[in-house]
Amino acid sequence: LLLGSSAQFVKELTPFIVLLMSYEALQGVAGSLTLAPVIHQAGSGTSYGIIEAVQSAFLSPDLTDVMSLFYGLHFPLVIGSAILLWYSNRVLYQRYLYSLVACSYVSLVFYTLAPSAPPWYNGVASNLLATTSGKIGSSSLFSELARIGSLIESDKLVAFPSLHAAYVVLFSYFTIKLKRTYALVSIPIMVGVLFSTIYLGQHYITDLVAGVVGVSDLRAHRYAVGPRERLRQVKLLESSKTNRARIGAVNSTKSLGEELSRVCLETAAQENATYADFRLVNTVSEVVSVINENPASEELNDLGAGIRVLYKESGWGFADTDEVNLENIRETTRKALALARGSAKIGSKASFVKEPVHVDDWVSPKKKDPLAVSTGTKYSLLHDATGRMKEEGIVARRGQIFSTRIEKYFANSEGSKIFQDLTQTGASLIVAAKGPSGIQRRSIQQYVLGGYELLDELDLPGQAPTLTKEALALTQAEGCPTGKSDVILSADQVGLQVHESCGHPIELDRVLGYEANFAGRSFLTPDQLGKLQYGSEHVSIVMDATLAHGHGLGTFAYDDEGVQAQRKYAVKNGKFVGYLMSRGTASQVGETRSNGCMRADTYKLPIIRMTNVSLEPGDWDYDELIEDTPDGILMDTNYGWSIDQKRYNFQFNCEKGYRIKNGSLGEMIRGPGYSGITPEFWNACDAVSNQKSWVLWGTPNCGKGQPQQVMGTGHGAAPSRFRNIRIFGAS
Amino acid sequence: MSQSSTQKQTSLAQQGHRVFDMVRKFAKGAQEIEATLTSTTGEFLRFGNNELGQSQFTKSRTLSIRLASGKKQARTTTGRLDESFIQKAVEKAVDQLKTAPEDPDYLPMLGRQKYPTVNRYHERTVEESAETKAGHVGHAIDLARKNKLLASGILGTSVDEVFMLNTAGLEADYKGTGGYFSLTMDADNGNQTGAGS
Repeated sequence: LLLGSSAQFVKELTPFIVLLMSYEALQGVAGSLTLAPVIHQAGSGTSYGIIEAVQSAFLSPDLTDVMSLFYGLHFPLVIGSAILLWYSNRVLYQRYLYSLVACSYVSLVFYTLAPSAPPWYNGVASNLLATTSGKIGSSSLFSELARIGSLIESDKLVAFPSLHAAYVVLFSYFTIKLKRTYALVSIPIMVGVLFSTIYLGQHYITDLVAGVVGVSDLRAHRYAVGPRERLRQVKLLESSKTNRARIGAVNSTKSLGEELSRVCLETAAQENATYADFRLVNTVSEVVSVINENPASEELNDLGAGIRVLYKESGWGFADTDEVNLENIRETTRKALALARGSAKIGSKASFVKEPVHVDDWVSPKKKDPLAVSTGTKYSLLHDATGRMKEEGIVARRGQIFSTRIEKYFANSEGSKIFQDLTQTGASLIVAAKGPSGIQRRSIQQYVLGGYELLDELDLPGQAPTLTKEALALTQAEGCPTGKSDVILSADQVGLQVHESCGHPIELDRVLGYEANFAGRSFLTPDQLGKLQYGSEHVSIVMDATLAHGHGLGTFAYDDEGVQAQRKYAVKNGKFVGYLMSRGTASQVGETRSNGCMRADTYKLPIIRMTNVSLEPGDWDYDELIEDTPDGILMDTNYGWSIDQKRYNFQFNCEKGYRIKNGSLGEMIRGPGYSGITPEFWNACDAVSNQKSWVLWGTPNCGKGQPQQVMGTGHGAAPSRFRNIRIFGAS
Repeated sequence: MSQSSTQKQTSLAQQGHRVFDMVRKFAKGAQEIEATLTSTTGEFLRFGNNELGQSQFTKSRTLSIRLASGKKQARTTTGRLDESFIQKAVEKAVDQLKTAPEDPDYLPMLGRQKYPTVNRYHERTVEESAETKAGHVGHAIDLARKNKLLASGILGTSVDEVFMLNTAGLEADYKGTGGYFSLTMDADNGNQTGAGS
């Protein structure tokens, strides 16, 4: 129970502790006041006759024991159900506690102004509870419950209204609201407790009726935690005119998210949603480009909220909006609920595996905020780099710098509250040359979860002359031969190979057919899980969103349905062992927890996405790998590819290649390409370079879903060798 | 585009005028100014494996600002319509305008135009309930089950609005609804497929 946060548990339990302490502190208050208690006389009303009739008709020592047990459940029931609700649904939990507290204090008004004695007080009925206490002393459980029951009734003048009735009705109402099947237990308990109060002579019928009616009329929870009408539309993230210092923005996004999520989750609970989650996402991104001599820049500011609800455990609905004010969030929540109700009409029972409650803030590491670097500085860098590529034969030059900051606040009806602040930076440089063999291209690109320090590491101006020289040389180079050959792929090409032929086919939504109409299916069907030899023993591919894996575009602390970042194997020593999953799909392959792969483009609908899907480094030093290859081709930097909808048959081509002869790199070749069948290809891998040449590459533009979403993914890879591969020369 | 004006269209137009006033205020030095405000709402029911997997509603607005001086022009976009963000977007465009190359083929912004009325807005598309749409999807899934196939696809409806203003006197708006249905029927785990839309 304490998996989420001990502090949070204590904090949220506080209203309940206050209730218990108040109850204890108020013992005897009614009796100490000078007001005359209402003491009913025997035989003066029909209800008294009912109690007498019940006691005379049903009286037996065994039934008295059982009824004492029910009567003593008064507080244990409340405690147990409060813990159950705290663990399962925080919104219901809070409403439950507010209702209990409100009922107790409304009752206190009656007890102080009009104290009322119970039936046994003046002999209207027998006090069987007292009798029972004496008789069942040998049973520790009964004895304890009877003792608790006795404590509760130590104040003799608090019969009207019956808190026994009020509490047990609230208990039933909220447990059934949590899950309908709980009615099988909670309704018999409710009936048992209500009957026990009559049978044991502790309450009149009128006390019970008042308690039950009080609860249903009061509906305390609706007022206690109702929509906060005082909330006004909050103006967020007012940017500074002079700089982009955004320290205040973090708090603003988080605080607005907290306020709006309360309204959303409360609305969802009122409308009987089984589950709800809310995300407020603030995205600021900038692209600065220099194309030939021409500068261009684009900045995107995007703030919006996405709301997802599950209705009757069988219908999902999602709605998003870019109008983040109170009224519209409530309206958008209702829109999601309307869609969920529609889905529920034809839906089957939705599985939704458990995830611990998380309350956390996480800021991704960065040394230099890329959005704090002026556009002018970026232009200067790009002008410098593209200027160095200006040579005869060069027909196009382009440099780009990408800066993104994503702040997102997540809250769900289970109690998770997560704020994440992610900074991503990327850059690319590309040059095209025209010569005898047509137009040839060379490029570099990298995208990371991190700051502007990436630009220092990449040194675009320093790399520009080499790229230019290679592009010009490619126009003079021979084409790639056609046939079969051993192939060594550069690390970035291996990264893309992993993305297309492993990352996509392990997306479980795709596997299960949910993307069949658009993106396609997968050859990695569930019956192959744990059985298929996907690759050779040298091939181990992880799905790792943790920071320990590196600063990738698939690195985060929690996914977009509140699941903590994890590291799992998709392929272990060649064996296919795992999928990218969500809470809604994990159980379909026998898993009890999602591995946290639900991600959304801005505030749109989360879908299963790659995190960092990476080939683990091997043992080979890169130079030794070349030396160990007597005859082959090195292929470097992707130029294009195609792959079928099941991710089975593919072909890739690269920007440049080199012949490998007798363990040495030979002449350059242009447009090298290769093709294969995914498991055959990975089984042909006999060497992976070691950590020294392993790089976590960023892929910023993976498209998926309808309406289409774009997502950044990470792929760690090192140069690897594949034996006897079909090769060809791209035109 | 039409220049017809229903009550709902006026709402986007009012927003557009408010936004355009702000853009003009901040676009110092620009000879021509244009603001285009677009609003898109969509409702999409995606299904696969004979189940309705996603029901989503999406709503967004975008402001595109175009400035021109001489034969130079610059454009910026923003999804935030607060004054501070509009100011930032305009200032960005002003900066770009200073460094932009001249476009020898540049044509000045269009002045006031009279467009024929185009009515592509159908209330029924917007008002169809989620339950009804789910029922349509359910019908396709039932057909698939009866024939031992797996259905996947999408039922989508959308409302697109555009409002454009410029300093040359153009004021135009368009509002239209759209809908589409795409269905793929799979047999043998996707090895046999038929699709239509």
